[in-house]
Amino acid sequence: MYESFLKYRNFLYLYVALTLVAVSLLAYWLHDPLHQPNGGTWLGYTLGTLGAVLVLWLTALGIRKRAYNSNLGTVRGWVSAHVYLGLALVVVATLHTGFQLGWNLHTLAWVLMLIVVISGVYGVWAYNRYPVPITRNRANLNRDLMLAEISEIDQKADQAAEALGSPVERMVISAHRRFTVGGGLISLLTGRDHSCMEEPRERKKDWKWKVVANADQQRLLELLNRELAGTREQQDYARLQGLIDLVSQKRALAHRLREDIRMQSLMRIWLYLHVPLTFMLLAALTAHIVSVFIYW
Amino acid sequence: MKILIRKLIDVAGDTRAHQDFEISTSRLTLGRGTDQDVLLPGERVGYQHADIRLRRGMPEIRAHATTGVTVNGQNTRSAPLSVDDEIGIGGYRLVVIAPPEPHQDLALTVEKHSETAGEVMRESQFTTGPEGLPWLRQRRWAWLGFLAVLMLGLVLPGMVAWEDADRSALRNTPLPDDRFWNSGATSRAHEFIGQACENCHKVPFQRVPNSACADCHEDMGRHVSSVTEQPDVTGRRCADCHREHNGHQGVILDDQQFCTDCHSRIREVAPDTHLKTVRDFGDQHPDFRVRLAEPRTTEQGTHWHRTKRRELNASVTETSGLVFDHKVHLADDGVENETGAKEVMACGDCHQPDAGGRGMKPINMERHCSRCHALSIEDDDPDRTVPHAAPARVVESLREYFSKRFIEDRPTRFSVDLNRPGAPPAVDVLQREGLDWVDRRTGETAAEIFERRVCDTCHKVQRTKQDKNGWSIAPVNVDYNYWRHSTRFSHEKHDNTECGECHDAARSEKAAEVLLPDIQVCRQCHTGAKGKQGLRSNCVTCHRFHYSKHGKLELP
Repeated sequence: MYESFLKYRNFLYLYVALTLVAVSLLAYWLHDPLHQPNGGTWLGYTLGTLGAVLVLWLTALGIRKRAYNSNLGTVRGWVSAHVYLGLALVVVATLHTGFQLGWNLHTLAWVLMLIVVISGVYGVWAYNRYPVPITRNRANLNRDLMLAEISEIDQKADQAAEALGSPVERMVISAHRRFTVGGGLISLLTGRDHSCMEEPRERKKDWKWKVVANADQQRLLELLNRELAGTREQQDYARLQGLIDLVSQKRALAHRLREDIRMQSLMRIWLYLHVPLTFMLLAALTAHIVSVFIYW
Repeated sequence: MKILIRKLIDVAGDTRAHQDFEISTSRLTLGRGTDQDVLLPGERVGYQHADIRLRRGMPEIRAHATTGVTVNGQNTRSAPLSVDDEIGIGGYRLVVIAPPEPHQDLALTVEKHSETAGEVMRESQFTTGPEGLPWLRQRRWAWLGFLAVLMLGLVLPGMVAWEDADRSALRNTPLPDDRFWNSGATSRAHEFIGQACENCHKVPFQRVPNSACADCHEDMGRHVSSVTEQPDVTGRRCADCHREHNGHQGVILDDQQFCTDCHSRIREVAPDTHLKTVRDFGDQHPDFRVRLAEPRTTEQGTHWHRTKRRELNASVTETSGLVFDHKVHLADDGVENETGAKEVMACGDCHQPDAGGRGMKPINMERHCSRCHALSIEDDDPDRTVPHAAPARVVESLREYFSKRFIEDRPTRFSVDLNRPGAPPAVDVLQREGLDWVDRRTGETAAEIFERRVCDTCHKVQRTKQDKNGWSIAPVNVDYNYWRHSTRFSHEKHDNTECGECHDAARSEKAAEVLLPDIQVCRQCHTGAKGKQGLRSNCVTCHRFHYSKHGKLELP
């Protein structure tokens, strides 16, 4: 039975994190420094050291999850602790600042920490939100199989279109050739379809072809339906109907594939913020610690 | 129902073999699951992809997998089957054939599609995830970001911090410099240093030394005298107490606990002290004590020194040396002025704040008194005055005055014929006569001025024994700043308060009365630091920490 890493050992690390937060808050509340609270009091140094150790340990998840033969706890336990202690870090680090924020390196480190944690919170949400809809949407297929099926439909459609001759033939084949999924970052995250097709525009001597958008095979279906309306011959009519059927199948399958890509991308995109910003945070933290002792 | 399944197998080239087996079931299941009647291994086939059963005597296929099945090329969820119908499931083709045996209800051939001839799209042809975007590679951004932040946050500012010669060249670039390390605004007083970190942070990795503070604050006083030195007060770094970069409000500790840690048990800390225990201005602060000015006359002259602290009560009197009646001067209907008319006076007519606004300027005879209190020689000639000076100078000026009078008035006053023959030389007679007259008039007038009409109005005057024309004036001190020895009260900050609200001068008849208000007067507005309402005031509101009277603070 699958159990969320959030519930690991009956929320063990949630309680560890809550204890840490409570102790930090209590200490901050009881602490009465000579000046206003800041990172340079004894409590400030304590919270700062604790925060830095936490950052290093949280970063170490990246090492632990790659160390397949490590006996140092399960990765699931590490992730559970990573999430809860990462959230606790926000409190510890903010109390370390004594709420003295400004346009400086020290606040940069704090802001980076905050963005890393927020992106991580999104990650927890995404890992909770997307797996079920992704599995349901996939319906036992994987992307290569979906694409193979689409290819099969395409071949059938090409054959059917061949019998119908120009211009249907070129429309169908161009839609086949110019079919695509995925793309740039925005397309991945929104599931936008960049598929195109060639559309006949004029009919003087020869067809004049123009590349048009064919998202969701919509344009092709419109054109085939228009063609269908103008067809009198029984056999062609049946062929066109079969073709429209095939394109509709492709449209449904391609939509499923794009949904898969979109949800998978949304589920993983936060790591592209989380990981690089963690490294920036490590640099800012190093600079912060070294600089406060340079100008002690 | 009885169903014949005929599996078609490619043997070689176009040669086909087949395997028949019969299944008896009410529902024929098809899929890649091992429990299925017709096992169709293949990724595109669902575990239980479809089933076939009789519906109104007719076999019917129903799809369970979302991808559905095709019947004669048509994608469908369910369809009735008849002979020669072609079913497509995943990569398999099933054809309904006429049952070879009469007891069989249905017969199906099952074969794997020959692989499609055309191209099959693969995921690798497309960018189907963020990992496929070359510009988005985590590792690249991680290292770029790491190096960029390290460069901008540590290396570049560090170059400025270690630069000895010309920091301004580095600071004038748009790149971040050591000001990027500034953890917070400096106090207003230090704002002018602001951007030049090295003024205080002299050596990297070393704490701000006291010498950095002493560059400007070279004459800081000790808190206590070297005799009663407290180890935890002296011998510290300035910055231990004066923390910078905590905002504009300043580096002076205003937490009174810093003071009361010792002063609430001052007898334990310093058994010989004259100081009293204090915890909070609101209710645990001793009554005011005052140090007064006292004349000390030696051969060199009169010097003023401070008395020891005295409880502020009615018996404390001041030795100002003056005779003065505040009540008369502040009478509601006024006091007689030089013209004889009544003039209403206010405190500010005489008491003016000094340049800093803290204390008051000393009272000055010429400025504050002489308009009404003219030092006239004779009542009938008020414009002829003696100087406000030492008695000998006053007598001297009288003598000069009467000598001049004798010379100018002689023809009318003295009708002696100086040219009578046989008489003594006229000049001798005249001189003797004049000297006698001047002596007499000077003596009479001086006595009147000193003892009856002018000086004694304000001064304590005594005739000296040795000289009949000699007087002595009691030494005068009208500098009130003697009172506020250990506090830093500012009159300017209280200028919206009437003088009389604190100083009960309107009823004071004697200059000897000390018109310093009682602590209760202050408490009408100022509460202690623990006060709930009113003007919360702590130790440094009135007191200072460093007292120059204890000598110069030697910074370690």
